[in-house]
Amino acid sequence: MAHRFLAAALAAACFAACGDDGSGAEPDADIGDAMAGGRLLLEDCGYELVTRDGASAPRLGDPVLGGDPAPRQVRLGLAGDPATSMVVLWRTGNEDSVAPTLATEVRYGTAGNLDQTATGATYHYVAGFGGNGEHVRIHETHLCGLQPDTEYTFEVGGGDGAAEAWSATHTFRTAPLPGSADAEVVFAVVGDTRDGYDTWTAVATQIATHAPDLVLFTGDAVTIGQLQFEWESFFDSAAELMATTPVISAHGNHEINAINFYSLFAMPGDEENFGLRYGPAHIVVLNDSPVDSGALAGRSADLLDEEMTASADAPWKFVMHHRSMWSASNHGSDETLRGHWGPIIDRHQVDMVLSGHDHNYERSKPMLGDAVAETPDRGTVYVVSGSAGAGLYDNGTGFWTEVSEKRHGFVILRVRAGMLEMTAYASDGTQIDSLTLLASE
Amino acid sequence: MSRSLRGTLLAIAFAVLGAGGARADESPAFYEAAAAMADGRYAMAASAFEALAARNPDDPFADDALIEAADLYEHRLGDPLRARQLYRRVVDAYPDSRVSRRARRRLEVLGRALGEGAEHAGALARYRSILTEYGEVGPIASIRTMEALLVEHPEFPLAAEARLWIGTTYQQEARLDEALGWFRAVQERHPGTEIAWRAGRAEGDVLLARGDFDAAEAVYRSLAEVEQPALATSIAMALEEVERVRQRARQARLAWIVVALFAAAMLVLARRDVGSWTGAGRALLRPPIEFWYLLPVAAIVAIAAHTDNQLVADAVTTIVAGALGVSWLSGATLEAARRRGPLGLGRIAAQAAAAGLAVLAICYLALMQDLLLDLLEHTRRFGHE
Repeated sequence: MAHRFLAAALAAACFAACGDDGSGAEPDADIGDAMAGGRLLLEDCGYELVTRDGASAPRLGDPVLGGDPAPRQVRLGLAGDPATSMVVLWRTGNEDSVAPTLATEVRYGTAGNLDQTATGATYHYVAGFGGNGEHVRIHETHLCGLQPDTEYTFEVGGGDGAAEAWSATHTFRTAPLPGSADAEVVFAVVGDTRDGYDTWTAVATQIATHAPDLVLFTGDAVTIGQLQFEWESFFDSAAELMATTPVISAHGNHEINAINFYSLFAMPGDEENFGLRYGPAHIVVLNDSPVDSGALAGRSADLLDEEMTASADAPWKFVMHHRSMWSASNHGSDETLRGHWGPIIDRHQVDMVLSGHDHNYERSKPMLGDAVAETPDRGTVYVVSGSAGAGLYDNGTGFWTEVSEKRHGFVILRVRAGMLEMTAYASDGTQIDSLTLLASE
Repeated sequence: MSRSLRGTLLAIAFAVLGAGGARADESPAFYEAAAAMADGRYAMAASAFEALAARNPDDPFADDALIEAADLYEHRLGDPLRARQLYRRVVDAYPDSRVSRRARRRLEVLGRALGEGAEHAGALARYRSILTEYGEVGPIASIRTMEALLVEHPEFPLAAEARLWIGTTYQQEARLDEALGWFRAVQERHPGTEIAWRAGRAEGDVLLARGDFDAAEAVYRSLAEVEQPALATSIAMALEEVERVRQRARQARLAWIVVALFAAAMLVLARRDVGSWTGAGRALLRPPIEFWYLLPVAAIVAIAAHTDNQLVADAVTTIVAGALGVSWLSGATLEAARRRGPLGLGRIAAQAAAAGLAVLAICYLALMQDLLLDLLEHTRRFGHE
């Protein structure tokens, strides 16, 4: 889906739809649409929902039900301030038909009520290579103006009153305000599910027992980004987790910058390189396999620097991307990335860098430059969490390695202003590693 | 922000608050308890957290302290009943708090493991401690403890998970026979469960790793009838993998046959040229002149290949060593033939073709080793790593 633009200049009416050329014409949502992307102003949120080349322009949902309107793959994303907004996405059936379901409503509220309604947008893309695959329709509703640190109940679907189709009800909780003294946020860090969707099911089930607020996915959800059947497995395998927990994903090299990736997740900014403040944590997500590799030293590095400068007050700083900068396994340490981003990470004293790519778990000693930091509190800990399903690689050890383990698993981060607890688990719940960092003045 | 690692921190931030945040009264006490927890003084930390919540239940940190204490009782102190009490207290006393969601989830987990009563509390405590202390205790000692737990608590609600865990840990330790035994035990004792399905999948994986393709395929096919589409996709991909690996194994056998035929052909040719098997053996043991030319080149290439990537280093070393061996055999045979008289063009061409074929076979074997062939295919499709 979406990319978000700060919308000081966007003052049109609520949900004003405008074409890619800014003509204001409402785009056609039929199968025959030009698949050149487009944008839709979400005035309540103050930004635009933008689809990319390869997808239709987003259009406001209509109370129209197709042949198979039952919502499926209900899941959450983040595009705006996580303390006051949430994105709900889902799919319906008969996506290839000329009369698909267009109803895109969310009923939601606090204290178990469903007394508020929001209408979202719908668009579709063509999976596969060369526009020859199946049509995949996304329903996407952005809920804005929510109360911080509050639990909401919601259901998705819609209809014209005479005929309606709704999902089961689910819940989510908004992020606490950044200055909250006591609030703890829980992140699950996981990646590289490709090929191993049954293991991913087990991992997701284990993750759900920790009730995370946010899943940070380190990339490579699928083996080939254009193949829709893999994405179906990816989302179906973790349906329960994703219906209650938003997911932010780094782009992995196996996603191949496919339209599927950019349509199936809802993330801030251009969905490749962006920053996100979630309670006491500031997270910068970077695409380390962009279409133009020059972006690594350019746009990505600039954004990393800007985000870290702007978030200097954040108690904890994280960077997430896919290819590990420090790894003793198959792929090894990516020295190109370290050359581009390492000095920025060091300068801003980033606490933890999260990645995947090598299919195992590894935690580095605190690193500064190309060496282990002389004083631990000056270094950055690099964590490889890339073992959520793909065939495991042998783990190794380098001079930087603190712990490494060849097991399927995930990492749980519990973050509050004064403390960061990291625990690595295997998919069966075995504890692999733990680390506690306490903030000092 | 600067920060200190576990065990090294002396200065704790008593109130690390963002702009505009109010300084909480119990913040220092909370972080003192957290420091004890970070140092591994779990009992002291749990008591301190509980004391904080009891002393000042309206403090913003009270609910956080309770859930930290509950977590310690559940995962570190072997007291799931106390953990359950504290989780319930969080849910009852602080239903709208941020940590209430986690407390509800942990109550569900504990409910499945404990049932309504307390009879399985001891078994659960041991089970959790095995999982938590696995890193310090080690795999085999952990397996023994888990086996003992199953003997002493046959009705333990997480027995299926425990059996699967033992199988997986044996698999991790490359003790595949034991692993297979436990995976099969899970399927026999807990038929129709999701855990049994996972055990079946693991059994198939072990069989595949051992090269027992037919058995692996049979196991995977027995798992294909599953309602969850994602699991069905996994099995379909596993079956594709069986076929791929089976094909690779066939090709590897063919490559070994080519190498063996080449060696045999060289021996037979040398026998023909020298006149006796003993003489042929002696002739082949004598390194030909081209071997000495190639040796330094091969050594330099092998050394140069020893980069950070061990797979590449191993493969290149195997290829140059194999090629060196082929040149030795081929060269020695030719030298023996030359002693009988000048060589015809046909003989030279045939021998060069045979040597080329043998080198190709060795290359294939070297690249297939450690899945380097997959890595090359991966690089072709997805770009340079």
